[in-house]
Amino acid sequence: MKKSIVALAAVLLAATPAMAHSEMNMTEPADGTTLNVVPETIALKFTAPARVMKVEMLHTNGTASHTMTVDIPTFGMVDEISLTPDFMGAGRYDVNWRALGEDGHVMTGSFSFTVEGE
Amino acid sequence: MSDVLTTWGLLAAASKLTIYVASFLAVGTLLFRLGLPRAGDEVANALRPLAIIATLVAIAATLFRVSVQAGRLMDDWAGMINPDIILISLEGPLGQSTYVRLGGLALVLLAALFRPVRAPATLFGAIMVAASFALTGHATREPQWLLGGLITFHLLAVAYWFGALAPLYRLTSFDGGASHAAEIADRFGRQASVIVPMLILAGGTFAYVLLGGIEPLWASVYGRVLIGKLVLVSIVLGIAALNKWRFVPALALDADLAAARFRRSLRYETGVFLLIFTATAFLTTSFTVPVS
Repeated sequence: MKKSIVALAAVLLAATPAMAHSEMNMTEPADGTTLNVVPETIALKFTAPARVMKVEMLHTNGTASHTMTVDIPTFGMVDEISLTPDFMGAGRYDVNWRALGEDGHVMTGSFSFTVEGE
Repeated sequence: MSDVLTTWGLLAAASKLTIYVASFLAVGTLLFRLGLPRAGDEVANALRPLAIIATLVAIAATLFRVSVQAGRLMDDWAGMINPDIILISLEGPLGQSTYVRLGGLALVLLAALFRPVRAPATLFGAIMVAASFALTGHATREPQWLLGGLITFHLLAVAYWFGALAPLYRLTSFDGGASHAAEIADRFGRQASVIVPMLILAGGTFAYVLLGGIEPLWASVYGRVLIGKLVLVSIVLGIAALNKWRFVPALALDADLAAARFRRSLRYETGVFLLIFTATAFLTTSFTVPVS
C-alpha cells in the first residue's frame, strides 16, 4: 500500500515540469520575445473557447518590480482576447492568466516578453 | 498548463475525491441492497446511517467543489464566496453536473430514509449521480453521447462494486454469520464476474476514444497518470480474485481465521480503491487530455 502511495505521488510530481501544454494556442507578444517598444496590447488566443477570468502582469526593471491586475473586457467565452494593460516602459513583463475552459476545467498559463530601448 | 500541485489544484482534487468516495458509498450501499436482497435487512439497517451520512457529505462536497472552482479561477480565497464568480463557475458544464448530482443525491437520500420509494429512488438517483460526472470535464468532448454513456455505466459499476465492500465486511462481523456472508459474497462474486469485465471494457473504450489511440498513454502526462491508475486497477482486480477463489471459499468452510482474513482483504481492497479515486480526482481536475 505504501509503495502504491509513493508511486502515485511520484507520477504526480514527475508530471509537473512536463505540463507545458495548455489549451492556449498562442500569445501576442509571443513567449520570450524581445521588443524595441512597448506593445499597444497583449492578446491570448485559445484552441477552444474559454472565459478569461484573471490576468496579472509583473514588470521588472533592474531591481524594481511591480505587479498589476489587468482589466478584462469580458468574462464571456472567447477564442481570443485583447488586453490593454498600463505598460511601464522598458523591462521584463511576466504575464500570468487564468481561464475557464468550455469543458468546465480551470486553465492557467504564463508568458513573458522583454522591452528594450524605451 | 495546470496548477496541480498548488493549493487550488490540491483542494480541487480533494473535493473531487470526497465526492467520489461519498457518492459511491451512498449509491453503492443502496444498490447492494437492491442487487442482493438476500443479504437481509439486518446488514441493510446497520448500514443505513452510513448511506445517509455519505449522501450528506457528498452534497456538501459537491457545493464545496463549486466554491473551490470559484476561488481557483481568481486565485484568491475571497473568490470562493464571491457570488458573481460562483455564478460564472456554475454556468456551463460544472453547473449542469452540480445540479444533476444534487438531484440524484436528493433521491438517494429519499431512498435511504423512506422504504416505499426505495427501489425507484435508488435507481434514478444512482443513474443521475453517475451521469453527473459525464456532464463536465473530459467526457464532454466529442463524441459526447458515447463518452458520456461509457463513463455513466463505468461509474455505476464502480459504485456497485465499491458500495458492496462495507456490507460484505459487516456481514462477516455478525455472530455465526460466516456461512451467510460466504453465500452473499459468492453471489456478489458471480455478479462481479459479469459487471467487472464490462466496467473495464467501458473504461478502456473511454480512454481509447478520448486519447485517440494507444501512443498518448506513454507520450503524454495524462497518459502516464492513467497508466498509474491502471496499475492500481490491476491490483484491486488481483485482490478481488483472491477474495473470490481463496477467502470466500475458506469463509464458506468456516475455516480458522477465514472471516478475519476476508475482512483484511476487504480493507486492502478499500485502500486501493481510495488510491484509484485519488488518481482519478487528479486526472479529472488538473490534467489536460492531449490533442489527438
